[in-house]
Amino acid sequence: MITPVIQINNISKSYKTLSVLDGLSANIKAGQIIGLVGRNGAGKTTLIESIMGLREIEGGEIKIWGDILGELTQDQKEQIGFVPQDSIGFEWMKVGHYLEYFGGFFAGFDKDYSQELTKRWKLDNKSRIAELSGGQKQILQVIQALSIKPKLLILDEPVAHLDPNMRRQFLAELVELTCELGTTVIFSTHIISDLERIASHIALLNHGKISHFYELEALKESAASLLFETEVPDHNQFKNLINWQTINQGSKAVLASPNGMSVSEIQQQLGINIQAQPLSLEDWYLEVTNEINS
Amino acid sequence: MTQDRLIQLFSLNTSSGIPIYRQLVDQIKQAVRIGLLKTDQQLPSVRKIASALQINPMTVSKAFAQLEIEGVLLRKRGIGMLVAEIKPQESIPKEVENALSDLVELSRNYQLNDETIMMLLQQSLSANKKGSK
Repeated sequence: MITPVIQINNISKSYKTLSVLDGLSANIKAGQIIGLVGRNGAGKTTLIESIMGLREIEGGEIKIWGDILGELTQDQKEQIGFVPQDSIGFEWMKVGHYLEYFGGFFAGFDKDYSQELTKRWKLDNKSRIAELSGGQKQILQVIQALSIKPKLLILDEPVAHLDPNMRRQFLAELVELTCELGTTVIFSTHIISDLERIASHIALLNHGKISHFYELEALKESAASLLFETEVPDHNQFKNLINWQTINQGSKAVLASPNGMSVSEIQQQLGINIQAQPLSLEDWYLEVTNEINS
Repeated sequence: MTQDRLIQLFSLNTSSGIPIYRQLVDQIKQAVRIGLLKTDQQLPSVRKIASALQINPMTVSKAFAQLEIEGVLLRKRGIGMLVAEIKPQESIPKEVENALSDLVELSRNYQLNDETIMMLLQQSLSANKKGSK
């Protein structure tokens, strides 16, 4: 078996009495682009910072490329790009100086590429970081992370402050990078339409665990809102159907997981007419998080 | 059409609920059917399409693989994907086209919207698949 890029085994983390990660496990394989989603406060940043070794976990272990987090070699660490959610600090530095300084820590740092991106994304090497807008600070961190040509790229809401044009340009660059290097990516965001484009898998963080982890295309192929012409008596038999409602003499439910019966199999089993309307990823997310919180 | 211009064929909708690879498959087939893509014409590479449309490269590969299975595209080693020769039996008989346009007209007369018409077709297709097993 090929060793996964990231193995997370039963990790826990709490802040005082608040449990944020609670026995979370996940395996992330080479080349996967994982869209990490979840409500505010679900623990996405805590999970990402734990993977980056910036948070001490209380139980369990995290391995990257098969090695325990604390024992990564310098060479391995230099292959990991990271864009944190918080602003970068170093406000007194100038853009060009910042890139040069942090690039120096990474053997793979491609200065020409960093300058190409700086120019293309209209940053001025001579601007002081303090003078940049929130979006420009984010772009600078993205440039720094992409320019080390990472094998693993971890992005914590990297595009929250970017306008749609910049977001698309960033996504295009991310696609180029994954094509060139087969980079594995973890991407946390609330902009679900971005994930719908570039994610290979969707991971939903909820109550301290990854409650849903699906291949995106398989999920999109199956996720649907279903209308049943009559009431469905024993609906617990359909494990992948959630949010049941009664509408006059009929029922409504959401097919929320590719693991389970398909619409035509359900139709065959029940022998009643079902109307299926495909769901966008955002609608799927809203339905699933509604169910969890109801 | 140059390869770069070919990218303009695609128009993706992420809120439709239809998987992106299927949108690509449908749009390439449509372009072949109406003659915008010609036999032996080369499609842009996976990387070019993925980057231009900002989508996962695996999604493009999956669409290409599907179109290869269906005989719409040919994979040529060292070159890429070419539009396959359109076989006569794959061209759509006039009666089918007429029946379809009658169906659409009838459905519109009953005020059915496009999504409903698509859904009815899909239901009818999956019902037929079951029967033929």
